[in-house]
Amino acid sequence: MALNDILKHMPSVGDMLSDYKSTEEMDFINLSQNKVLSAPPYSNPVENLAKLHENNDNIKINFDHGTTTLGFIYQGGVVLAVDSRATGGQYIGSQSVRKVVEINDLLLGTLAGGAADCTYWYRVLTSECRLYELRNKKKISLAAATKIMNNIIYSYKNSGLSMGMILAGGDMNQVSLYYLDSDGTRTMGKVFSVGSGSIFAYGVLDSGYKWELTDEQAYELGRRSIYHATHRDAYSGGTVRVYHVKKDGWNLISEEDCLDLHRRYEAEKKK
Amino acid sequence: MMSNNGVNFAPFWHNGPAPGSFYNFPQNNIKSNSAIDEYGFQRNGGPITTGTSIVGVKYDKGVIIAGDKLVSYGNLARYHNVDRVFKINENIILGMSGDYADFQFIKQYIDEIILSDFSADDRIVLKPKDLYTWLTRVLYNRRSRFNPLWLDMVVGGMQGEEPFLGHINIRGRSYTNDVISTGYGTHLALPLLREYSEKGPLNEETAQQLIQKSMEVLFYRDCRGYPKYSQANINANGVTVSDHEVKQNWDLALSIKGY
Amino acid sequence: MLGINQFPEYQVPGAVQHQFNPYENNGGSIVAIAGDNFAVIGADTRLSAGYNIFTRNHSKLFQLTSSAVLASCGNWCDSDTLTSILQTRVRQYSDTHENKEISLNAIAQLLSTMMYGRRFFPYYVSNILAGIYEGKGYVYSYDPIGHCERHTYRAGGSSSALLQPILDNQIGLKNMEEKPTIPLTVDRAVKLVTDTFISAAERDIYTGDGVKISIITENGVEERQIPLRKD
Repeated sequence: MALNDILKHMPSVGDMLSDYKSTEEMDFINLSQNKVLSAPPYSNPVENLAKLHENNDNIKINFDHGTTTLGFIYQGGVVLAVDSRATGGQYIGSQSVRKVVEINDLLLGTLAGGAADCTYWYRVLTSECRLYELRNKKKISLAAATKIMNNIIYSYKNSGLSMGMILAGGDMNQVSLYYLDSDGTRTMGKVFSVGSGSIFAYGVLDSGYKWELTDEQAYELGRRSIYHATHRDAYSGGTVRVYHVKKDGWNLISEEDCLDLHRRYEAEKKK
Repeated sequence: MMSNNGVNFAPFWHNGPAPGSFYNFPQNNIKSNSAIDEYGFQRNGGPITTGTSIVGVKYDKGVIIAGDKLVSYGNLARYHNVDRVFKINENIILGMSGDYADFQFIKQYIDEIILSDFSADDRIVLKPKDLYTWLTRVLYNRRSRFNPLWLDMVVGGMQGEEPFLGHINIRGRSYTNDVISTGYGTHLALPLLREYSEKGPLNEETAQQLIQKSMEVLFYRDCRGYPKYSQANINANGVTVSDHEVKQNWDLALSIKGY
Repeated sequence: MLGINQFPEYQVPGAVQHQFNPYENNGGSIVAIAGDNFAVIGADTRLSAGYNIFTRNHSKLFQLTSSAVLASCGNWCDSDTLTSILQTRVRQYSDTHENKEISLNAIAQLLSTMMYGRRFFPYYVSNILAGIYEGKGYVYSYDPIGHCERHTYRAGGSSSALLQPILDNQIGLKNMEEKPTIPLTVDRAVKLVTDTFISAAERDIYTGDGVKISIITENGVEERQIPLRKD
């Protein structure tokens, strides 16, 4: 018998303690099971992740976030309007975030809160919606899609995710609008605005909103609401995007820099 | 969170933004709660029995690693004749600083690897880069479990014809360089070593002298230092581990007056 | 287990308390620019923590395929781990796809998903991925938990806030009334990257020593190294 064979039967320090082993397998479990994330090596991530970052001398982990988004229903369908700024701390991480996620050709969603949180879970939702189509030979309804999303989000309640989403899309031959957030809220409604600049958007939106708006009036109301939010909220800005959702699908209506909008509205005031 | 003229609105949703203010991401709003143990569970605090600096120098044909022979217990000079520099096999030398118990644990496991490597008798022998990478993974995985091995290690050796010198710390942060030092040595020995190494490759004799000088400086200025040190020298001719002592000279002390 | 935490009255400044922190800021800056049919990505070569410089010749660039290079900096042990796992997956892809190389956009998404997998114990790294896909140059940047966005130019790492405005001005031509029309060639992009690093080395203690630049074109990846201030 070779020496090596004997050694195989000897107890090893490494066998007794598995601590040296890699955490890799669990870290990327989401690559095969997209709804499962690896658990942190400490309890209560909301508080302890915070402590972890607090104790650092000069480390500040800033995740991209900050937003104004809105959506409302009127006689012609749904209008979604969003800004495009992402801030990490006081630093503007990006002025070109696409905050409307195109889930499929009927469904749209907006993202507010943690950018990574929202984009990741929207991607999961997109795959769930496609799987539903393949299994059932029909498009998923908005009610069902939001329920799937809500169930996922609720399972991560109190773990520190930060998301506020408005979803719009065709649902049983009508268009509807839902609001979801990381607390596990899921509500259907007519007018929603989400994000740090939402109060400013609501001010404009509520004063101009009525069911009978024409398409053009509705686009302009959404655009103007976001513009005013970018003007008053430091965490919102960049490009104002407007989408129109109808029973048979959605359209991108406009993408305008808020500086251009500012100049246009200023010129209109002077007339 | 920003205040709005003294009026504090509630956030829209958990961790969400209050009207007109920023998202309350967990790490941006900290409630200090010192009664709770760090991260929710108790860990063995930190290093107890420790070794101080290790100095490593790469020269044109080999590597020298040196470290003094003291292992301290807090402020107590506890063990006076302990090797902290080791020959691992014909290709590898290793120096440790940090917690000596943690080192004994990892050394036991390294010895097992060397034993099974030897007994395989396949003429493939562990090289310094292999051990360096392995130690990096072990230390990183332990830090990722919040149960770190409190170690700062310097791996040296011959990677075939080429000398190799690498450093791994408690978090598994690793790098290779021509001169490496741990602990107080980063402040006291490194500037001295860099002054020479940055001019081009050293020869064995200068490397030897630099190590001697570094150990001298470390003995005089590091409170946890010690005059006796061991050094491992590796090159194509093999490994030699030898004991040395700093030639102390305190004559200077008599001439210092005034405080 | 008994520890100093059980004896609050002894928790005075004199009593040494060792607190383990899994994160360490190793600094470093990275910049990438995408052109019509090329991409340029650069990273400085300093590895440091606090006021210590560990090494002056430390590559933060990782060539993943013949048309994709990743730059990663921040907490070096996290960068090291993340990139080596990514490199393994890139290799696995070609091994299971008849030696076909994984495309740039697939790497971009894979990296995002991997980083989000550690949502509750993030890799503290700043990543920028640059390369070409179907003949066009692309740059992707990431936040620590995997939010991925496509850009034409991007700065990351310790002096990102210093470098990004230079690029906004020189390439993005942001908020200019009269925009100059200077074509973005490989040479100009390389010069810009070099210049931004020279500026960063002047003002950021975590950036310096040298820059490694990778130029990604249809012909593969060309590497250059330029020395910087060593103070």
